[in-house]
Amino acid sequence: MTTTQPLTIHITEKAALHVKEYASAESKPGYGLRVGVKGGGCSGLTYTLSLELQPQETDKIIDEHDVRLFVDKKGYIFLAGTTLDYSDGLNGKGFVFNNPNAKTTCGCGTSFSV
Amino acid sequence: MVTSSLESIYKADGAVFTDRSGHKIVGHFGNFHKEIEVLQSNAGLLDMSYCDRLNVTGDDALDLLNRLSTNQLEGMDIGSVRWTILTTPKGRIIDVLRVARMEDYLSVGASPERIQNIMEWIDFYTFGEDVQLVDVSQNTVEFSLIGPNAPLVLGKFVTGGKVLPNDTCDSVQIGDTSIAVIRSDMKDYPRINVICQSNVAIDIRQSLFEAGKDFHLMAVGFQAEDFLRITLGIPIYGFELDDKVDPLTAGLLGYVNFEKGCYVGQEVVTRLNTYQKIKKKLMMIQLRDEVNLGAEIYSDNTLIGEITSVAPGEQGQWNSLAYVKKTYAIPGLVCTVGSESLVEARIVAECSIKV
Repeated sequence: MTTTQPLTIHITEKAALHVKEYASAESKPGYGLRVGVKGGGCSGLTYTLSLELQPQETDKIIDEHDVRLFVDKKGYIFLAGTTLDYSDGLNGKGFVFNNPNAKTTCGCGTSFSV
Repeated sequence: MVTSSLESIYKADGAVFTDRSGHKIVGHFGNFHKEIEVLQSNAGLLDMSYCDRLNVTGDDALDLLNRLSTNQLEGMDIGSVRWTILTTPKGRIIDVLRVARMEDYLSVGASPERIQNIMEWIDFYTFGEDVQLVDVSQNTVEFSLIGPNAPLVLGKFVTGGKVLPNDTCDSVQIGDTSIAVIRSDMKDYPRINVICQSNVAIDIRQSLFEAGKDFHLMAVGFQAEDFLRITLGIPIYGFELDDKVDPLTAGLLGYVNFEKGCYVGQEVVTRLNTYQKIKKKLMMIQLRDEVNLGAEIYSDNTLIGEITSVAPGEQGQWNSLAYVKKTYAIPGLVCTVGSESLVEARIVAECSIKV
């Protein structure tokens, strides 16, 4: 028998570590990470990341690896199931969105379509 | 069919109506050739209300439109006008927009019956931004003053007769009413659009005619405007443009900024430009006789293109726009149009809108 897990957003341990390091460097320890989407970019939608002290009233809040993720409702539709990872490979350093909703992504990887 | 709020006035002026995009619009006022002459040497007044209009407000309005369209809108000053293209992620045209930055809103001019698609498109890409869209197509009327004297007619309402420069907009007082005026020329032909509330449209039209008396202003219909548009090689939605065509194939290079960075469809549009990947070009073609829209163009029995717009010319010939395969898009090339009775034709020039 298979069970269906509700779709949520995950952050890997490695990405969480980098969020905490970045927050500390910015003198914002304990801040949450707002994960969002905005219109634009080559493929139509672009990922956004920012540090915020408190969530908005209607945000989804995900707590994983000691990092709180804040996601607004509309952005959540496009991000559900996404894992936020961190890459430090030869192809470049930075946060990587592994988003199962993305049908296409643009060359630079920051923009996607659904 | 949608009718103009000024239909009874146009009827009284002898208008002959035609259908376009589900709207009953004035084809001409009885003398098509005179109307062409007026557009070329004086000024004509055309009712453009069948085109859609959108007012956009909010702190993020310009930024959002900039992220969704081809031209650089960031940094537009109040009083400036720019054309831009909403494209799909595949770089195909949703619509060509005229963006005028008024003092406290953006006046966006769109093609007829495109407003719903445009508003849904912008709404889809709006997340937390402060942007409000209001469809003003139904409660406003848009007149177009076209021709060399158009700026002088408008100048009658401005202190000192100051002429509104190309690609600028302003508010002008006509009687007790403040109206938006937007100048965006059809290549070398001055064109000033006047947008007012529908309930004052009759008075505004009357005021424009009174101001235009000294400049031989007369009412014109769409056939004359189409003549000018086709002669100048300007594509419009529903004829040359749709969601299967990209901006470069349509010759709209001047509405694309290759330096601005990402927007929806940017990768595809840039690749088409960098690698010269377009397969056909929009060309102006002169015909010996009238042909139907969609008529096929042949060169030595090879199908090379298709007619998209046709208008009667001045000396008995017909002018048209057509998409032609790139290898055959050669000015001077003689070809034939149609499948049963062949009409002789000659490619005149490539359509190209440059800034």
